[in-house]
Amino acid sequence: MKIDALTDASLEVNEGELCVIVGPSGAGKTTLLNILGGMDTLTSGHVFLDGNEISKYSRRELTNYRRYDIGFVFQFYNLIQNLTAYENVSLATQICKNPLDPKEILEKVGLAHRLNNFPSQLSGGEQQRVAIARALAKNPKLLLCDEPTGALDYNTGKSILKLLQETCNSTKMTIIIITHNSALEKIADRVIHIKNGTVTHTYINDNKLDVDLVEW
Amino acid sequence: MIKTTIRDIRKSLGRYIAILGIIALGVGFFSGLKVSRDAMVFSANEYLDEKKFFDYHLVSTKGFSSENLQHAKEQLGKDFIVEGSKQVHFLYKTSKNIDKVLIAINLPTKLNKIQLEKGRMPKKRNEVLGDSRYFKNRDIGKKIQIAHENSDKTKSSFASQRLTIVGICKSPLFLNFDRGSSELGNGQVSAFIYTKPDLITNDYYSNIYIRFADRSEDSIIYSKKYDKMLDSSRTEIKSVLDDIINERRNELLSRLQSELESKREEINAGKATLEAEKSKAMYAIYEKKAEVNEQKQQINEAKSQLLTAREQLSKQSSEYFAKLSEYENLMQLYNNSSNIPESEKLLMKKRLEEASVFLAEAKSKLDRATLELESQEKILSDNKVELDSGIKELNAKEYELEATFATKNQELDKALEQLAQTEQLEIKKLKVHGYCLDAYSNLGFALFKNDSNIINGVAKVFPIFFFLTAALVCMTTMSRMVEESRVEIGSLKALGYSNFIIASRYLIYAGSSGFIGTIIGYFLGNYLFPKTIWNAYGIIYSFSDRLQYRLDPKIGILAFLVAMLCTTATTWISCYEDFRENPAFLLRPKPPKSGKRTLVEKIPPVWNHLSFLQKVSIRNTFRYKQRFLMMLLGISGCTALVLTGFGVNDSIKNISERQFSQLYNFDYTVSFKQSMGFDDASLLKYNEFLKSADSHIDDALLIHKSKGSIIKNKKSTETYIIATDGEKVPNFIHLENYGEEKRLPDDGGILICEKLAKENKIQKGDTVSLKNSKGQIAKLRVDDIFINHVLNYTYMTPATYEKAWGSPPKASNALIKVRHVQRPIDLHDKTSENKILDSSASVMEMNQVASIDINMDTYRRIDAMMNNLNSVILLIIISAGILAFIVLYNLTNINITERAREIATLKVLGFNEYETISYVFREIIMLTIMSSLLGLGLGRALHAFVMLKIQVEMVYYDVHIMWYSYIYSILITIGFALLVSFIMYFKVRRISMADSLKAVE
Repeated sequence: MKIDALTDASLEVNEGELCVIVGPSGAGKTTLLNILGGMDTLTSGHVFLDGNEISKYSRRELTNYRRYDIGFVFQFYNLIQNLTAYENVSLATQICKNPLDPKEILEKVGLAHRLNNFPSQLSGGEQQRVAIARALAKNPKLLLCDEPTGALDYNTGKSILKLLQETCNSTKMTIIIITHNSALEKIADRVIHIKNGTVTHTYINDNKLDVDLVEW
Repeated sequence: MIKTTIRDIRKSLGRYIAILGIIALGVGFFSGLKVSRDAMVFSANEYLDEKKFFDYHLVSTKGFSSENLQHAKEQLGKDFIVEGSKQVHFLYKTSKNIDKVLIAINLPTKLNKIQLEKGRMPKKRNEVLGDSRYFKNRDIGKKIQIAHENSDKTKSSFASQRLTIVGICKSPLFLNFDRGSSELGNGQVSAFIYTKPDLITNDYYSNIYIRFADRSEDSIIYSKKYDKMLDSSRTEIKSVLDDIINERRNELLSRLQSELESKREEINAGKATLEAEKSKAMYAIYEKKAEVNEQKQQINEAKSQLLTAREQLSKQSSEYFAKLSEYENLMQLYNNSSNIPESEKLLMKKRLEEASVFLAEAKSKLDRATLELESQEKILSDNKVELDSGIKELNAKEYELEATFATKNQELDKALEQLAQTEQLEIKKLKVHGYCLDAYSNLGFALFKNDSNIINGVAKVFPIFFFLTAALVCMTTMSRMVEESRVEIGSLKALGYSNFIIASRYLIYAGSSGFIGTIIGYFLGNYLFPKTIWNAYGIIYSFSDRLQYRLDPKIGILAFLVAMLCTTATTWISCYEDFRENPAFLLRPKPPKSGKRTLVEKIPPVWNHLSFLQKVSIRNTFRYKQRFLMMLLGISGCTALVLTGFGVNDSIKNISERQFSQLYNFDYTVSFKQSMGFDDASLLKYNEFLKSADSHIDDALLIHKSKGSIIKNKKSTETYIIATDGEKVPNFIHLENYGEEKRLPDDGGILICEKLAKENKIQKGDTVSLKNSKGQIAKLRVDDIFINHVLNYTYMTPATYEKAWGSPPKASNALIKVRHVQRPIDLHDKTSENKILDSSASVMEMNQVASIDINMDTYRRIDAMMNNLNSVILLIIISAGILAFIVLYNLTNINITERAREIATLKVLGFNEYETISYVFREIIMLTIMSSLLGLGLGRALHAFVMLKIQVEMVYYDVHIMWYSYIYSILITIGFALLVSFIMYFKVRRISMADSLKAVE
């Protein structure tokens, strides 16, 4: 039985934008993100990043794509349990072309005092921040976040989002956040609605709000 | 539950098979090895039973007559089957003109029956069956000629000198390749032939074989029951032997005496004939002499007759002369007187003329007669002279004849004397010794016991290892499986299912795997192991194609129990912990194990020098203690097993080389017919021997060699006692320990071999009791201990011997070094071997020599015996390899599956293939190397243990492991690790990021 995860899902994101993709569960958000992140393949269609056609990339090219151009943040952090916060970030920066300094990034995300702790010694929010630091340290062109606050409580989640927003504002990095929480549309530059594997609606958000001002 | 289980099995087939495999290995090994010895022995037993192999074997130094055999049969009665055998050694020239010694045996009908392999049974008298190990199919039809060089006695033992091979066969008397030794040729019998009874003309049997008529079911060879059975009738048979030996002695004695008697008669008859001849000859001479004398007499008579005649004639002539003179006178008268009438005058003149004519006639007659008489006389004289010389001749002849007859008589007398002497000697020499031997005296039979026991030793140790590993693997696998379905278990518990039902899914999984594994392992093991070992031995033993597979149900049940325990118990243990938790806990994802700092990090100089990824690997390795431990055990176990395998190989394989190529430095041992002392006088004959063999003997060492025993704490151990000149020993035998050459102590001390020392706990400096071949016991001081691998030896100088037992030792052996032989000895050096064979063959022909024993033969024999183990060891190594492979595969599999998320993250981060893979496999390799090194240590211990278990009587192992064995073991282990990594590589590649990183919703 063939199931199409995505059909007719065309979209466009500009450099430096904070894009939020909203949709109910099973809509195909994660699949979309995975394709964007070079972790999955299309059966038909095209993906272009910065002029390069990602969808035609070979395995090796995809690996490099992920290596140098993409940063990924997962819902469940996916940190290496056996490495400290610092080491987790270093793991990613070791293989990049122009990485940022892990210590600095960690300090930037507010974990200066937690450099040498293992993930099991960190709270959920701290772990996610490490994950974000890891992604940011790679200095990618595109930062993909799959439900970054899904496993966090309200306040922690908010602080994470704030971090992301700040990063987006201060750098030229493009950030795409996937969520099922439509309240987050307000912080985005661009909003994309997905339902049943199809893009139903996209719009530019002219009334961008600061995270602090959004309640849900 | 069943449905789920089946689905489980289908989904994780690899895992299922891993458990199955390892259980199969464990069970297979266990039952296979344990059963191997039994299979071997049982097969041998079947074969020997079918062929009616002997239980006892009687030999005598002078054979047995048919009466002896009959007598034995009668005395032993219905309980025994008795059969006599005629066996003759003879020389045979191969097509390449090489001398080989063969043994001819008459075809038995009751015991030690042969098995025809190809061809047909002999029908005609000169048809024979050949040894299938020596003669092949193509030899059927070939002729065997009893070589000319054989002694007359040997040749006359055969009714026909030209034999035809009509078939080839196997004989239970020759189970392995040994065909016995001989006084002929090079001392070694090359093959046997079986003949029709009427081919061998000897009137005596060389052996009598005896077998119990009824054998109880379980008197399998080598078993306690069997030995008991042999012991039970030994005395009875010995007494029968004594009887018939006496019979034989008496028979031979009377035969000897009658022989001598008839010889004596011959001589006496000869003498009588001589006498008669002498008389006859003498008489002839006398007769001749008498004849001659008679002739002489006749001549004398004739002569005297002639003389008489002559005298008569002479008388007559003088008468006539007188008459003539008368007439002349008268005439004169008449002439002078004129008164005589002229007529008277004329008458007178006429008478005178007549008378004178008559006289002249008479005179000429007389003259003629005289001449004739004279010539006749001369003839007679000549004849007489002849006759005289004839008589002289006859006298001379008579004298000669007397002398000749006297000499001849003397000779005959001497012959009589010698006969008397011979009689004395022969009677003295006529010792008939009988020996009652049992089945163990047959070399093949005895060796097979040894060889089959080796397997037993191995069977005791290795399976344990396998089972332990099996348990380990089961445990890991099942824990993993339980963990994976953690949530499911939680849900089921929440739904209200009991622990047992939930557990049953896993129990069935593991249990069924174990069950199938057991069955496969049991039958495969029971088939493969005996078969392989049998094949290895089959090269040596000739009942090879008759392997009886034995299924021992006891072992099967034991194996089954152990296997089930392994699988189900470990499963239950794995489940147990989880089951104790409440459902809610199970439903939440398992908190990942926290990272921990490792010990290595506390060593800054080391830690700081490692690359980042190396640090990660180290941390990862030590993170999962349980798994780490298992990998460690599994891999080190593998290395240990492989090392043990190699080590056993090293310790055993080189024994023969060490002993015969390095420690022994001579080629063969000569046994002399007469023993001699070590003093100069006795050595004359020995030196003669050396001189005559100088062209091919390089050096020789005279030794005293006898069998004795060391007695310590009531335990007596057999040893050979060698007494010889200490100076020359190092040229022939290296008595050494730890590389140091030991000298024979001068002053009453002895050297003993290490096996004696170890078995009796004797140390350097101890005093021991040594019993010599005569049963006398002496106390001697052990000055040092040397390494020796085959049999036991005790060395001392002749002076020590004399001091110990009062009389100087008699030497009847010499160790011989042959010229131009490549040293050290190499079994494959045909040139040197031929030189040795030639030398020993020439030496055998010398009068003084009784027998020879060539080192290369024993070398080969022991080498082969030790080589048998190699196949078994190889099997073990391969199994160890499979074991390692399964362990590695399993654990790596689990490792990767568990860390799928981690690996996927790396991929997401952009780690390329190489980096991702090294991330995972660096640990594996590191762990493998570490475990391997540990395994080396374990292996050493295991090796020592195994060496202890596979002790064999004849041989003393050189327990050591070569340096390169260590390297091989590690390389093999690493090789397996690499192989597993290679296979797992594909698995890692296949980890999809999207699937692995799915949220735990």
